[in-house]
Amino acid sequence: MRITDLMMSNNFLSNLNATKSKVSDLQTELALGTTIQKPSDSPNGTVNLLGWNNQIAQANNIMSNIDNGLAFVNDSTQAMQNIQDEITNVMSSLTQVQNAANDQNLSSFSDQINTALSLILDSANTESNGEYVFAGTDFANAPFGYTSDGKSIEVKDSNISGAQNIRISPNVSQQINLSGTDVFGTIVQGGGNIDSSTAVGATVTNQTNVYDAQGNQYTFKVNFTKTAADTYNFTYDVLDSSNNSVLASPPAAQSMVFDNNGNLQSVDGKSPSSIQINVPANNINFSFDPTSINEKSGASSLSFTANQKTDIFNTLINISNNLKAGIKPTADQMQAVTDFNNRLLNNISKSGNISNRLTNAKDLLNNKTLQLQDLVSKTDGVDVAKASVDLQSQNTLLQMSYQIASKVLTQSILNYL
Amino acid sequence: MGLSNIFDIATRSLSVYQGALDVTAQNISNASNPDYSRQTVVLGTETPQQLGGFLWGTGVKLEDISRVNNALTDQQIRDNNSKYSNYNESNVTLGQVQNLLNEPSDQGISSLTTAFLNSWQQLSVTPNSVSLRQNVVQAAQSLSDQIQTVRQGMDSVQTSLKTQISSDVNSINSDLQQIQSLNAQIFQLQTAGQSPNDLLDTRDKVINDLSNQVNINVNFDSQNMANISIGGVFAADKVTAVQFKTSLQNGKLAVTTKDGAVRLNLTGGQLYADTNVYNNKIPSYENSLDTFVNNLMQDVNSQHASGYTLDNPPQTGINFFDSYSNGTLKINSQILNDPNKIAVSSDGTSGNGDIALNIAGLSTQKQSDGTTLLDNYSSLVSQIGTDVQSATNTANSYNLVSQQLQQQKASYSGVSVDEEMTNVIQYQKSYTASAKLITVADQMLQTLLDMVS
Repeated sequence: MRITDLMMSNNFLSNLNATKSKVSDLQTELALGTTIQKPSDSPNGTVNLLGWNNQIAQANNIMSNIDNGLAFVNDSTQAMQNIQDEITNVMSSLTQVQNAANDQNLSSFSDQINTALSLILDSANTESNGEYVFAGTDFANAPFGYTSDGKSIEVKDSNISGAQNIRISPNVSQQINLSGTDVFGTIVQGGGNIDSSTAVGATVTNQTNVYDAQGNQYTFKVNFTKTAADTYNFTYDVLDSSNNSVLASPPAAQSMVFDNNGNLQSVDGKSPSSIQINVPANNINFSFDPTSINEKSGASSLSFTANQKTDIFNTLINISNNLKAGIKPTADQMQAVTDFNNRLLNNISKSGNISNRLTNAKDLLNNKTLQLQDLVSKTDGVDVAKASVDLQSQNTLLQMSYQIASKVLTQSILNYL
Repeated sequence: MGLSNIFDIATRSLSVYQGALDVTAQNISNASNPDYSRQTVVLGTETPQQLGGFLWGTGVKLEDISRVNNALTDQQIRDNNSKYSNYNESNVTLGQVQNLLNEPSDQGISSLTTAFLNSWQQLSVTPNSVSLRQNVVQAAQSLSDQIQTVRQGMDSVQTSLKTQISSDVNSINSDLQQIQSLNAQIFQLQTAGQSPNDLLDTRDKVINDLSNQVNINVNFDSQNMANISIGGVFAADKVTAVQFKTSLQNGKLAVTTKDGAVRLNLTGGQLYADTNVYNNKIPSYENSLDTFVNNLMQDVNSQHASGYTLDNPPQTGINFFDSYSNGTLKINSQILNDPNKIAVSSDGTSGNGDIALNIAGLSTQKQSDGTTLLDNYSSLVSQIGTDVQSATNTANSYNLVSQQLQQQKASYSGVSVDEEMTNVIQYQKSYTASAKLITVADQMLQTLLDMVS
């Protein structure tokens, strides 16, 4: 084969460029610490990287949210523990009040209960990062406060039963708050069955007693008017002792639909939840939970039960007022305080469970993030030792190329003529 | 035979070796010219003369100056040029599109979409936070800016390609005119019995340039005239050089004859790469990007419109994004002016962030085709990456073939300085010997003259 000068120089330049290209690639890898700088370096690797990096960013974001959620839960728990401390003091005082030896000091016990009430009210309006922890999702006002006449305590927000949810994994949400209704509210729990053979147009009714802040009794009456198979128009009314409605206007009918198993499927097209009933003019505030009402064949047998008559604030106000007037608390009142304390302990336990779940979710996310980072590192990370050795090797080749070129390319027969 | 015959032979010899040295000089001076084909001197014996029963030699003659080339290698180079140029040009233009994506990085659409959806996640924890609402707006703006950069960047590459294609076609027209002109000149010289070696080199160079531009077919007829066709359409010969133009057909750029009657069937070369990226690749990428952005906009708006704002009273039915058109994703101006117009509450209370949670959940929500929003974008990135990688690898492969073919050509047709210098020495010696022969003959003649006098 003839070897011409052009071949020699082309060959040298081609090999030199190949070596320089490798040196350049290795330098870039070492400088950036990544093997994939653009999608064409590894299309599949790039897609994996995009997915993993997005998952890592999302997990970090969720972990940050969990930290915020944990702070909120801790503030809620602390507030409930403060309230529980005061309730314990109140229960102790009420026990002492039963002792005849203290009959002369009832006014003093009244003052103690008033002090506890102030602290409980203050804790009930606890804020966490600008959010009232027991206001549900309505942060417009402190959720609890005295009525304008100062005689009782009422709910200041329109709805304190809202649930605050945060995401604790890409697909799972967790409620982080215990609403004002959960902790302090009166909940009328609906139960029993509506006869599935009820004729369309017929109405199934039921009623139970509810109370205003002062303990005055009212009648909560509900109507389920069948409009179609498994579908009822739900309406309600609150009646005073004269059987007159105290509602400012009749509530709009809400459509309740039961599924094939007879369970309540939806209310006005949404997932069933408690219905807040607020009559500010009469200091009546309670929620009605219809979720346990079923539709079954057989005679209708609705049953409603309330967890309390009046809330803890007004129960304590009544006890205090009575003590001031020299009247000892009734067994019902003492039982109401005890019941509230038990519910509170239960809610503190729930709060602890939420806190544990958040912590566990964060641990899981942390592990997941580490695994993803490991995958990213294996796909995109540079083996610095190997790259350094390769770079050194390519540098040596480069120098050899230059040296050989300087010896060979410059030689021809002309040097010997 | 007289002494004068010695003078004739020696004189002829001087002339021949001077010519041979001229050819060698031409070779040496073109030693570094990659388009030059070395020339060799073909020496022959002059026709002998019969005298006295013997055939007497009459010296040397220069029979031909031949051009050393290999038609098969040249054909292979042309074929390879068209393939290499196609993939190399695709690699360059698609690489420009790839660079626009800025992936994988924190500033790519993928990361910015995640950041945007994560901002909703953060807002869901504290829905009444104005600063977190500002974060959502800012994340949306960053995403919108990057989408605009990528989308309009693709448009810009497409516009540049249109100009490039027009320039390619002009270059092809110019090459075809040159080939026709060179064919004519070569024919004239050949008819006059001359060897138009340098013109043949020039024509080969132009044909090679043309093969870089477009897929061509070259036939050399019995008169060594190059007949060129492009994509099945006659393009040039000794007499004619067809001219081409670009035109829009069904929204796609096509190359046709000047009168628009015949369309070229492009399969290779830079022109094919440019038209393919212009007509098919970029529209496909833009379509995928538009689908991704439209899905994102619809999904976010669908959730957002069902939520309530932080206003008093809360409003509902407000879209987060106004529109997406020509790469511009517009955020609702009401929201830009007042972040409280972001609707994340499902019940109108200020602390409800259900809608924000739902929007954040779009990152993992499966669509009707079983993929997530970002899966579709990742597919686009993967497609572009694969296209560039494929073009790069294939271009590298054809480049290696090209280098080998060029080495073959250089081995066959290239100039070796060592070889030429050896020839110089050889021709110089022959020239010197011929000159010496004249001196000897002169002395012999002088001897005879001295005898007479």
